[in-house]
Amino acid sequence: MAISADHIRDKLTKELAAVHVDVEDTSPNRCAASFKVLVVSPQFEGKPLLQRHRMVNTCLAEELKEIHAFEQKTLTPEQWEKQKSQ
Amino acid sequence: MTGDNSTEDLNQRLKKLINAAPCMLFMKGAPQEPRCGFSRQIVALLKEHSIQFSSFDILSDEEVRQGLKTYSNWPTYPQLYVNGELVGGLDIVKELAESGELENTCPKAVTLEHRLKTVINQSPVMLFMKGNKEAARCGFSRQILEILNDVAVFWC
Repeated sequence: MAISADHIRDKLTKELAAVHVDVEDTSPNRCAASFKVLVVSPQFEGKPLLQRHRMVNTCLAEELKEIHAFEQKTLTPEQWEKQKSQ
Repeated sequence: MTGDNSTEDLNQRLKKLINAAPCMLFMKGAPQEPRCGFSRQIVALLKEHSIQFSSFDILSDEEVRQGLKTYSNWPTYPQLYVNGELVGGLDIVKELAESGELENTCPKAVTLEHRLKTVINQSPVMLFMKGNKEAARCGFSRQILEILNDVAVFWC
């Protein structure tokens, strides 16, 4: 079953209490399923980058087995607001 | 029984590989010839910030390729390790570069010029000789030692 951007978005939103999730399907540029995600969640507060990325990796553990290329950006709501205003 | 042994052997091997250099990059291909966009980008970033690193081509070894993902519980490549610890993949290295933390996280390449400058200036008087103070390894070095000792130049 092909993994869809919606599926990824839903899962991240639900499991990481994300306030915002962007999922970009970058597959057409590569030969297999590829995604780029932006996850904004208060659960990232106080956590170093590596830990945040691990949280996303754990959430998408099953999907990542099939996804070929994966890019992620993790922000706290505060960081996201700051970024938006720039 | 054999299964456990081989996993343990693999883990030992991985641990050694991860610690093979202060900064180890596990990538697809070689730094001079990366075989994937993400690997290419991470090499470019490290070079741009004068980070000294060694690398391992995971395409050359399927056992390491799959084993390391399990060992570090990290699903993708490239993977950057510093002093035996996982720093992360391209995304994390990109963010560290942007926030200016990359240099602090990784060992910086020390140029020869810098090394020479440091060692020349180690003391007010510095002797570059063959052998050491206790055992000179050439006639000229021995003679210069004797002269310096006679003159009682304070040195260590």
